[in-house]
Amino acid sequence: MPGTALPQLGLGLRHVHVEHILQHQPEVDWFEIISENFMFSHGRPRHVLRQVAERYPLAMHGVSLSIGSSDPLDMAYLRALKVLADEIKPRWISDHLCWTGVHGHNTHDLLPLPLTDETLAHVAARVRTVQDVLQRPLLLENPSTYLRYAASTWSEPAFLAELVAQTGCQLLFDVNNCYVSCFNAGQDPQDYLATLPWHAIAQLHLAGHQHCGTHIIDTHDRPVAAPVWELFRQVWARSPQPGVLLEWDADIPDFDACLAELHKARRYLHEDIPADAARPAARHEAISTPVDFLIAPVLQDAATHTTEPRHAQPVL
Amino acid sequence: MPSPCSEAAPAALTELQHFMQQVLMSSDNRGREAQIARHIAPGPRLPAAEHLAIYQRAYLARLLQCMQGQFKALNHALGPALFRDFAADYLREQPSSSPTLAHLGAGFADYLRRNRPDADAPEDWIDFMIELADFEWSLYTLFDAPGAEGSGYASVDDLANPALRLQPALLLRQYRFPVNHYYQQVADEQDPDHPDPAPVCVALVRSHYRSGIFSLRPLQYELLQRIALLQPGQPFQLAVRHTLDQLGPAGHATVQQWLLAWVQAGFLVINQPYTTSCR
Repeated sequence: MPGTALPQLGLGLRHVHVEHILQHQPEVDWFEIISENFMFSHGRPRHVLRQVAERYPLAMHGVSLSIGSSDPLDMAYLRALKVLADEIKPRWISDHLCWTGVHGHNTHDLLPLPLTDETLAHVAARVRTVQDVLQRPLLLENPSTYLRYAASTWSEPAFLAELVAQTGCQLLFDVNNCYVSCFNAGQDPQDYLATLPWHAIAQLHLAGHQHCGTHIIDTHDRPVAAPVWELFRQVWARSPQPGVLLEWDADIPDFDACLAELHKARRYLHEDIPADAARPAARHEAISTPVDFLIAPVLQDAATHTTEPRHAQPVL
Repeated sequence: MPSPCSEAAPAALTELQHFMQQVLMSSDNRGREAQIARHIAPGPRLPAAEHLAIYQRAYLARLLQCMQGQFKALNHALGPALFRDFAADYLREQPSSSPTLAHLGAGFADYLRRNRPDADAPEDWIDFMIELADFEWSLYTLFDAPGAEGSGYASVDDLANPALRLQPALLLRQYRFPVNHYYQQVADEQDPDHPDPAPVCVALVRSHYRSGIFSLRPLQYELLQRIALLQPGQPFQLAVRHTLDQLGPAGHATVQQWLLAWVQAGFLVINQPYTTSCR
């Protein structure tokens, strides 16, 4: 029965929190990792991940699958993804309905696709290949979008519904992204929800955004906005008890502050919380899809040592 | 393993993505107004070009932020504005081609070397910046490189073992400037001046998942280089012999002291396969 149970609440695993998590083992239902942070790691990130995986269920969330690119699928990338999945046995493996680059380049952005019949056939074929490699359904997330293509003939939820029908993939529905994309396109989120394939939603994302007046940027750098909580309440009521995850990727506060924000999800679902006052429009546009949190904290890691014995005499 | 889907992408998608990537990476819409109007729909509050501009602004800003994270000491040395100028030019010349941002700065030191602004009359501070970029990137790659944590390190009982070798997560570097001291001062949140030339040899080592910077004497550096160049089957003692000849009668005890310290610092393993290409 949709919407009757308490949600399983997860947090995005960020390196600034890892020591706290391993030391205090806080009560979190699951963590979500950014797959690319660990797929190619031979050092401490992978080592730490193994320790986290011993204590918590994990989900793998990717940002470079580029499922809609006109470049061929990167099979080496897929194999590395599978190796990591075999090792940590995640609940879900997800990425975005987007493309990230062509001609062998990676913009490291989640770029929107023209939603056409041709794109649908192209993406569906690639989703089937990915699922064959991973031997499990792929979850696809609706990205935040800041433009619409003139060529698009499908709405995003209808496109996702058809993709689900053709491939058996599942959905990671990002409530904040839905709100952001709808505002930027001048669309009512209620219209978006009307055609969403609810049965396929396995996971929900929540995050903060920056309202710039004429448009909204998906910044993941602040608490979830009041209208997004309201939308979340509606989405949860109609979904088949998906996992709920909070993403916080820039200006990341301490772990307890992230956890407090995550726990608001239960309160919004089961208590009557009034919506916060609307936020004022920002003066400076923040970066969409922040990625600097993906950079390893090497400067803090390295230390200068000496191997000289005490009282050693210079040799040469 | 299934074969990749080999069907060609739709021509319209290919054309659109080629166009989008070009305008993102160049951030220059001049002469492309008609294409923008053809591909991108105007929004309720912004014209099509302004919707595109949101992506254009974020593309470079996002990657520059990553570069500043990968080269924190160089960013400090150059100052954020000049660092961003160099990094933006680098990203325009060498856009990322990796699924992970961990490789973003891989070519930056070489880029600076090839595009130094003082090509006609080389200046010391440019040399320092290039060396600092190389040092910082070496340390960055070491953080997540294959190491010996899984297979184990040599112990003091192994010092006579002919199969003793350098561990894989160890890089040897020589610089004309003391970039290691400058880096450490920035890490300690000091504000160091650009240093004068003063040659240094360093070993960058990751042991037990912790990275360390070790200053070396020239003869120590030379010995470690000889160990790195040993071929499979050659005894470890072959590398040591030359150093013993140079040190004279006191050489044996000195080298033993060094080896003991290096073993304790996790420099050495027993005959583990490793690549020498990164040294």
